[in-house]
Amino acid sequence: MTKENDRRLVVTTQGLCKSYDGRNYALRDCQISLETGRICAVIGPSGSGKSTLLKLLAGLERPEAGSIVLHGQTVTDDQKCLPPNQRGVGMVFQDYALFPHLNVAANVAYGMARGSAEEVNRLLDLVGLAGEEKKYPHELSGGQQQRVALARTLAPRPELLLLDEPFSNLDASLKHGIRQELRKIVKELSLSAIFITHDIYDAMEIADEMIFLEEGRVIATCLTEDLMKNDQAPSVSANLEQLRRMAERVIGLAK
Amino acid sequence: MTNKIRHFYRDTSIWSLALLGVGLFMAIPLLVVLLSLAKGTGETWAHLTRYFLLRYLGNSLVLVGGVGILSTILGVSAAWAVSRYAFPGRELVVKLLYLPLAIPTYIMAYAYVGFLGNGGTLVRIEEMIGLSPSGIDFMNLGGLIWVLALSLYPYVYASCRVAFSGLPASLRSASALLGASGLRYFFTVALPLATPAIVGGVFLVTMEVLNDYGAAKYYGINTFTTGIFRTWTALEDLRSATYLAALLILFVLVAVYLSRLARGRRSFVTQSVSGSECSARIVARGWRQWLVVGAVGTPLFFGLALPLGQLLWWVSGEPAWGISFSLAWVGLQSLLVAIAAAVACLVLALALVFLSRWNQLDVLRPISKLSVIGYAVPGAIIGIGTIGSSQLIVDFFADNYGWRIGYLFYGSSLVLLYAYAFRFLAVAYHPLEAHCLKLGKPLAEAAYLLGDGKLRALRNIELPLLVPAMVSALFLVFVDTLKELPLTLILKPYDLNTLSIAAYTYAEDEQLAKAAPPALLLILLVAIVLWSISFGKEAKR
Repeated sequence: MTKENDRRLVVTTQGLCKSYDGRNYALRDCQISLETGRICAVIGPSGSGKSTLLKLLAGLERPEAGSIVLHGQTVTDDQKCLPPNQRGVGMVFQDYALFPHLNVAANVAYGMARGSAEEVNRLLDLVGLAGEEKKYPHELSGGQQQRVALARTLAPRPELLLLDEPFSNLDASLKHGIRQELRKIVKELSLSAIFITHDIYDAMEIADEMIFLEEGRVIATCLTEDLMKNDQAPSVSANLEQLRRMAERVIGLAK
Repeated sequence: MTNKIRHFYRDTSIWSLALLGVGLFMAIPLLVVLLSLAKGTGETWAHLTRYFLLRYLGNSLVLVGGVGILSTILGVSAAWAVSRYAFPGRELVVKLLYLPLAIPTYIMAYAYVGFLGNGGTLVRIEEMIGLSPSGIDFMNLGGLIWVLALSLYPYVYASCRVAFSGLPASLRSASALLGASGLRYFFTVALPLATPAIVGGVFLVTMEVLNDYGAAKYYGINTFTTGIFRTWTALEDLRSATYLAALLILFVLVAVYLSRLARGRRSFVTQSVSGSECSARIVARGWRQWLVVGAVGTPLFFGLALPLGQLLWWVSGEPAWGISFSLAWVGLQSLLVAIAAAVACLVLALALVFLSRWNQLDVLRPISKLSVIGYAVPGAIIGIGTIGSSQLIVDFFADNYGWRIGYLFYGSSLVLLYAYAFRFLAVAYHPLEAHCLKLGKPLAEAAYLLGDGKLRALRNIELPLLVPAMVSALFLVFVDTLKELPLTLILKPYDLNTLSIAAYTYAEDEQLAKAAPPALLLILLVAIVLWSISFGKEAKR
């Protein structure tokens, strides 16, 4: 791989393995890479290792083996494991993890070096929550909490955005709008994003590319546009027919 | 090379080292007791094993068994009565039933002797109304079982309250539709589901029985704990006392093992969608009414009204003590000691909870569990361990550097505080750990990903959210320290006098009436705190 390529890649992992109990592997020999400015969906049924992959990228868990390179810098290998606050990564948690004792403005300003009111308002405006800054998390709806979590994650300007099942707590009527908004915001800010889901429709609507996980292994990767086309494309790492069957199986498992 | 060894360097952090440091610091007394076994027995060991050991073992076993059974009967029946039945004044009774815990076992023991003994209150009442005085001999094993059970049953009551009030109402309906009577429902469904709670409560009772010194000493019953004191103080044989202490540790380990075994692999988790037992409370009628009165009346009368009445009777005859400044001074010293112990335990417990969360080395994970074992270790053992380790440290500095630092250790408040922290760390640790588990990891993880280090996330996010648990941890250690006797007796600085020491000393001198004012003040302070804790908990049920 050339240096030029290295610079364009925001994430590269090599041989990533993680076990929580020393016997069963939540993730095994995981190889993924993502270019700057792209959105990647990690798809798989429950227990397939999706959340584990995200936690390893964020530095919240340590792998048994393998390495992670973020923005050209090795952040995890056998010798070191950079703490989460030194990785330039932001994460939206599945249950949002908003700080219950802080109001919306304080939540959003939390990660800013110098949290000015204008900057907080700009972010709240971006996620469509202008005027809600004095409210506390428990006073907001699920969709609003999700937007606060997104604004809070964007505030420190991370280069890579990780989203852990960001739509799982939203009802169907909200999902479509928020999916579109999320894609717009990520593209507008020229970020890279990895989000996990077990809903193929989430992935098809937002992601540029997809990674399929099953029992801790990457079983396929593809570009969203190729999956939507009928003919086989060079970006698909497996036979297209095989991939379709796999996608159906994964979706079936997820259901 | 396994992954763990390969990653040892990567995963070792300052937090792991700090956790190891705290673990070693808290392990000192037990290590000293266990290590000193290698030095061999003392001179009186043969004499002890020949004449006393079987008696210590027998009495301790009978006490543990008797108090366990009696406190289970009292605690379970009272908890069931208030959880299942509605009656006037129920809410007050629910809270009053916790209060015998405010009366230390040794004070309960004096009160009963004062009431039932020769020349006691009962005899005077009988004389007043013209009956021949009965003069019940109460200072025996049976009497000790009775007073210990009455002041310790609230442990069983408290855990059963949680278990019974968490039973889904649907279980009761299902059982009724299947044709089971109320009694059958209690014995075949409610009681088996409450087994872990009962075992947990009885385990705490057992630990307190093994820890008891004041009551057993006063009633002249030889137990392991009184034996350790006697061997140490009267026979002046610290090594044999240490051997006895090690045997007592074995006893404790067996109790821990049995409590685990009793739980087995059964599931006791119930899932409720239809509200809990409290929503289905019924009014007792006929013979059931009398059972309910008996179930709540027995512990309230014998565990609260009778001992308190006796103490108040004594105080009314000793008005000088009631307003004396010395009582206020003793009370103040008690308060200060208990507050210091509570703060020390809170700081250590917070350190343990968070350091073990931050530590990445699997090999150090058991430290947090091992460090809180002190609650199951009787005060007499901690006393011996603390004095033994003080001696080692003082000798080490004297031999190697010629420093005389004995004054820092012998009869020092710091050593007493350390011993309290060792004994009561679990009391502060468990509510904090439970609250932390409830909060989960994502809040802290979110703070890390927003740029915080561990300490900043702790200060800004985790500690503010832990305040309720920290307050209850402080209260619980405060209460336990106020009541504590054996450790305070062994390790207290010469000029320190606490309410528990004052009550014990007067009672030992057979000046029971003078023991009453400090005892009452102690009970009052503990009751206020217990009342406020139980008020908060019961409000949720």
